[in-house]
Amino acid sequence: MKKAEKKTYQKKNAKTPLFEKATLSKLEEKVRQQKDELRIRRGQLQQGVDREKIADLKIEEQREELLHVTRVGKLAEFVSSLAHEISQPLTAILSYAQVAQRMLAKGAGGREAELQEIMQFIISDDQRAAEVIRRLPSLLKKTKPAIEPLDISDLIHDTVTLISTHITVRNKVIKFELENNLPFIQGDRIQLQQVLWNLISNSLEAMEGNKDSHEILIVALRKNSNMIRVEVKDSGSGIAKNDIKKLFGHFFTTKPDGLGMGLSISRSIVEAHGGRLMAKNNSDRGATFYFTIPIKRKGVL
Amino acid sequence: MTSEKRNIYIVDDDESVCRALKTLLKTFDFDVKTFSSAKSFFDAVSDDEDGCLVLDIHMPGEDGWAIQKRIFDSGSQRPVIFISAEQKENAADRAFKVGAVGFLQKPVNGQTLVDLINVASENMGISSDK
Repeated sequence: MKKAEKKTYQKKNAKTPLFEKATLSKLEEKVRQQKDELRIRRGQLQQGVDREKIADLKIEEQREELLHVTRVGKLAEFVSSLAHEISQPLTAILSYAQVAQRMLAKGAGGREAELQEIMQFIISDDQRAAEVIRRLPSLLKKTKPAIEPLDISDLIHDTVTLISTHITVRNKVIKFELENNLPFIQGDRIQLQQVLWNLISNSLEAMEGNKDSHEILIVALRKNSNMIRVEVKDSGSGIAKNDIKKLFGHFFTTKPDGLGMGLSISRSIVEAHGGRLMAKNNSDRGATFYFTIPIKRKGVL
Repeated sequence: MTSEKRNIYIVDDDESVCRALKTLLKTFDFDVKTFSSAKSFFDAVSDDEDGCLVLDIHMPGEDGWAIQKRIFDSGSQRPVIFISAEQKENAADRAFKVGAVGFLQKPVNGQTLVDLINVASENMGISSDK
């Protein structure tokens, strides 16, 4: 055995000429250099990735900021309608309180029953105002997107409840065609509510001043095994041919006091959720805005 | 005129506001009728029945501005007082421009409303004497 080993060793030595040795060490050196270079490159790449990550985070933050701003912007419209809703019971309460005060000043002897009734009115109007406040959504809160499994039908109903003052004051009604037992979707509740809100309030505005159109139809159905489709169908003025392409761009608006951000924000929200938002004119009249949203996959949180 | 109770008409789509303002104005010895819409008001009250109109702005169907315009266009001298939660700064200006006697922000103080009604009725008295 020993002999054999030696033999091979000798053989190996003998078979490696000097010039090859030199080449080998050169090669080793080269590999080492390349390794070093690779390490530096990898470092640079990592830095690049980190920078990109930071940039992404920044964009995400800016998007959040923008969403917050527009949410509040939309809220400004809503606030005026809320102010109306709260000031109605306040008006009644103040009037009743002043009635009671005047009755007492005159000497309310024998009018206790009347006073009791007035107090009851004050209490119920106070409850009404409190109810309006309780319904105030968490819209003002600035939150990071919270992705969770959501029931689209609940989401639609909740949003419609929030916007119901807008609807009744304009003499409109909302009808629903929501498929039974729709699977959960995956998304951010507030952002998707904002999309629905924008679409419904656009529909309301498109129907403004049109006495014959009362109805908005909201449809939710299973489009295929991956997607749910939601439609908001109005009977308003429809979309002018030239406007269809521009509709989702920033700052496009047909409203005198509109910002032109609602639809572009809505589209970016839907796309961030992996769906698409589109619009078409109805065959009879009005327009339909519709979006798809992915169904929650099993086992995926 | 002084012995007779003066008429006040309130148009507001909110039932409880109507009831409360009516109860309050009755303590000031007015004869108060309330309506929940423009239509019910115009159906029930003709132009020649005098009386001040207390008008909400934010209503379904014909809103306060539209009602005021209808009254103004018909040549009626009926004094109109707007009451509203409207927060737009120009709402009061707009109210005066379209010929209303005044604009009060809700919730409305009873005495302020009554003072305004009295001013309106006096003006009305002068213009109907012509």
